[in-house]
Amino acid sequence: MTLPTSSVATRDGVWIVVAAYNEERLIQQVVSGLREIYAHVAVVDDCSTDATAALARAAGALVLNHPVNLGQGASLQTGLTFALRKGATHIVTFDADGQHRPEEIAHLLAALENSGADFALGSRFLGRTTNLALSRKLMLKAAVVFSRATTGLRITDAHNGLRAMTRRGASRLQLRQNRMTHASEILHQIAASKLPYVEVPVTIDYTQYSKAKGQKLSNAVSILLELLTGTLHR
Amino acid sequence: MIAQLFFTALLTMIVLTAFVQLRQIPLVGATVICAAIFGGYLVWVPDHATLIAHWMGIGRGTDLILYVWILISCAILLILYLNARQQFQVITVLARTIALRDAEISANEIGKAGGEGSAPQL
Repeated sequence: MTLPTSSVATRDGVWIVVAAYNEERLIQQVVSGLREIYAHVAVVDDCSTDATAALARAAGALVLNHPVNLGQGASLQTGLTFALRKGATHIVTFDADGQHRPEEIAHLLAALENSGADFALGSRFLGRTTNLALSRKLMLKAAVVFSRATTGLRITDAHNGLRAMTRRGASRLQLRQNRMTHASEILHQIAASKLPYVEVPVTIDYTQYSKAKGQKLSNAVSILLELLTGTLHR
Repeated sequence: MIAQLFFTALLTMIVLTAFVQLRQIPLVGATVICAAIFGGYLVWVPDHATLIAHWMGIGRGTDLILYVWILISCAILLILYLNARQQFQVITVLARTIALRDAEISANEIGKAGGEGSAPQL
């Protein structure tokens, strides 16, 4: 399937936000791949204890350092805030573990441009995956059912880290769930914003490394707990 | 009488603590207040504990008091958890402010050093 690419793909206003924590094994490769196409790559180093920040910087990323470890949600929000301050017209979130393909960002940006949507959400179930374990597939499908029921969004993939958004869309996100719960929170906030969204087929390349870094079953319980307690507090 | 006064003082403290939290955590706060007031009632009118326990299908009045106490304890733990979570939000905002400020300073320094034109290397 050939997807359209975007005329905004090489524009100066596109910022790629990568949340990273102890990703020294792949961060240089990930950033280099992004920098071949995009000028602005912001890596938010979530107080890594390894050389993640230095390697990302060496690969050409602008690195923001959290002084304490806060989690992926907080890192993404820091990156979004920074990109907005820098005048980004489009912001893309991209995982640091090498499971996304930089060339597919253009498809998401094209989808934003062509559809007029404010959010383009990557979907591995519309696209394809390599080495996806059955247990993980079942967990992801359960997350989709849960997210569809709680947000009303007609999505096929609830926890895909590859997303693109317009400046208007990014401005409407205020992530408060610091840990892995942010993926569900983003969907809730997209639903609450009532801004248009589209899903775009993407490829997820699972490796032993990305599997070890990815969502675990305990995270699913954590997500449920966070969402429940989050409703108790004003 | 001494025990009644002691428990009344304790329950009053719990009510006041929950009252302070009522605006931030209305549901949990209200639950604690109701349970503590009910507990105080049982402390002063223990005979009713057995009657109410029977009416609710619980064997003994002491069991009912135990359940109320467990409810209060769990709700207070939840209040503490939610407060800790709120404190973490404050830390997050602080850490983000520092990260953004440092990035701006770094970008400005590189800009002054002639790094303009190589935007990604900020």
